Amino acid sequence: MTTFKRFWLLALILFSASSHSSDPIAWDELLVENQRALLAAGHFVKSDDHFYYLGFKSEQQDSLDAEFEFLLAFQDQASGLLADLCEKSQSSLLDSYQFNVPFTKNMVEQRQSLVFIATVRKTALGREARTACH
Amino acid sequence: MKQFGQLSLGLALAMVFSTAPNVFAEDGGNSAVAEFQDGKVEAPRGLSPSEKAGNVLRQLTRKKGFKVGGWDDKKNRIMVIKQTGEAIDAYDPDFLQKREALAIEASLLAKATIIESFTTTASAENILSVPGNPIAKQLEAEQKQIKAMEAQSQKLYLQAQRETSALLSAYDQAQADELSGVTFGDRLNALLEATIKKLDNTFDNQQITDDKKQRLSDVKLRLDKARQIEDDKKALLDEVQDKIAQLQGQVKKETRSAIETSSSMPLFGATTLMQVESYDDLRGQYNIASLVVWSPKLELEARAMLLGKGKGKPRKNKISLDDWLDKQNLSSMVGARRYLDNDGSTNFMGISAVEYDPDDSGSYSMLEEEAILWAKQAAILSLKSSVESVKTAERLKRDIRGADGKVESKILKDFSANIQESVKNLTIRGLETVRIEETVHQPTGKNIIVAVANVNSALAVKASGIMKDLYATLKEVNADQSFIQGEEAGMKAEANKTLNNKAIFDAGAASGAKQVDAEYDSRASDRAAMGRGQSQQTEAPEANDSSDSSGDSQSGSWAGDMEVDDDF
Repeated sequence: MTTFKRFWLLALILFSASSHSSDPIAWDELLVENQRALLAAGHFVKSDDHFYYLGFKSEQQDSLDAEFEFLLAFQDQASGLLADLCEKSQSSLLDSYQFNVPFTKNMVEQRQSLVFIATVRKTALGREARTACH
Repeated sequence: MKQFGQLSLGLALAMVFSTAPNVFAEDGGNSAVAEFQDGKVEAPRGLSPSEKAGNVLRQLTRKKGFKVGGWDDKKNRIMVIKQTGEAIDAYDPDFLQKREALAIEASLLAKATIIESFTTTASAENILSVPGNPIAKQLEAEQKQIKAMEAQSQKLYLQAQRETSALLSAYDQAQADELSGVTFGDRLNALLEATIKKLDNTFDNQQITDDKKQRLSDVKLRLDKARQIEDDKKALLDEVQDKIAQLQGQVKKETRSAIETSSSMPLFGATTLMQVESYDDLRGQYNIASLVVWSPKLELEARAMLLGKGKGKPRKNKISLDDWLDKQNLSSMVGARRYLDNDGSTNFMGISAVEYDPDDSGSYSMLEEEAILWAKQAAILSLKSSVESVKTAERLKRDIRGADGKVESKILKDFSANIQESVKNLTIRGLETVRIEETVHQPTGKNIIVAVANVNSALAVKASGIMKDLYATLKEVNADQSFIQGEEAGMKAEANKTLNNKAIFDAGAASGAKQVDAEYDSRASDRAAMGRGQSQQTEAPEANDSSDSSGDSQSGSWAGDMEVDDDF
């Protein structure tokens, strides 16, 4: 094996290791860390190197009603993140725009409330910002 | 029902039904679930009326330290609680059907939550639309017309002003100058009016040329026309005001936000671990809550079962499925369950109940079949189903111009959810009905038939062997039947060779005739002794021998049917 090949193999291993480190933070950790924000504002937006974490608390008793609130909150929060991304690239969010992002969602029952934690990949939202900003 | 009603009007009956898998015990991370399965966790009963099923179930899971809601990374599983409910009177004839539908709804919601925690796609849009200035746009034509009218009337006034001023200058220069200096408006109108009146009087009293009179007459006409235009303009402005009033309330700006999330994936082995139902008979409020669980272990079990490899080693710490079912309160169980038998088999069960009338035995068997069918559905959908969840939310913010001209915001919201699970053309081996039980649904006191269907891994494994034997037997029987059918066909064919044979028939006929003739001849001496002559000899029967038609009657023999079947 040539030195060049060894170098690429090492790079591949390092890349693979870094990919593994891009696992999202567990929802229960997020819940503990952001409990105060949830109590005070009813929502939170956090991020790390790879993910955005959008938390939302609903007081609705019916889970579908809570789901409705979450969907609207998710859209607002995702739109807010898109606007930030636009601003960073010195542009602004279009008046009319669409986005399409995959995410994971955990719905956690708490006393008298339901907490939703959505996890969105930064790359996915960044991709959407390209068409939503001008 | 009455019994319960007497005991407590608002007694909420909450029953917890354990079921599910002790396989968790072998899973390493699911011992808590196994404890529940083995009855080490007490089922809450006789709770206060205010305790709804969901609360009871949540309390129970908290006590046990179950991580409910999202993925439990340590235990490698996900547990979800969903509660559904509605107001149902105990005497509602469809109570049990509604109960079953609510249980299915809870299960579907839980399964949707499970798959959404793995992956969901959100499609969202925000659209801002400003319709421009609709009032200005719609009044554009009128505005143009008004401007044109204003210009025309102004022109006429100016001409009248100039002309009147010129005519007056010959008589009253000062007033003529005053008139010339007046700008457009009411004062001009009044001055013109006064001047024309003055000129009229002057012209009446003096010798005035016709030219001047004509000019004054034209001024009057111009003024009349200008005033007419002014009146028309006023009318048009009134129309415009009406139109503006009508246009008030129109949307000035609209912001539409819509989001749709969709998630779909196959789910193998998701089952109900615990279930609680509560009923407040005073308010008629019924609730059912299910704790639905899924784990890779459950998926492997379902997979093994579907692939016919589900028979495990005997489990000494377990009881048999029958014994386990004996321990359950089947009257309060509905939907999917799973149990690991001590014989090593895995059992994905489905439980369903229908109401029956003990006095109507005629409909019993049909109701029983119905319960079995629904139980089988629950068992199969627990083993494998394609789950799909689509939820949409829409928010519309409208800025509307009010009657007072102020702009107000109105918010319209809409939400819809479509969750489904299905399985198509799946051949299940090992599907059996393991229990039919007549019991009483405790919350309502209704008589019910509970059916427990089961997909048994041991039977699924054996099914192939059993089917092999059955099909081998069928092959033997088919071969034997083929031989018998061939044998009979051969016999019939051989027999048919002499069927309706003309030559044999003729030979037989000739032989018969000969025998009769011989017998007849042998009796000639006897006939002679009786004094009978030979006359009758001439009447010996002959085929197709027509008789003499001269008499009323005749003796003889005739044969019409020449082709006679003799296959009897």
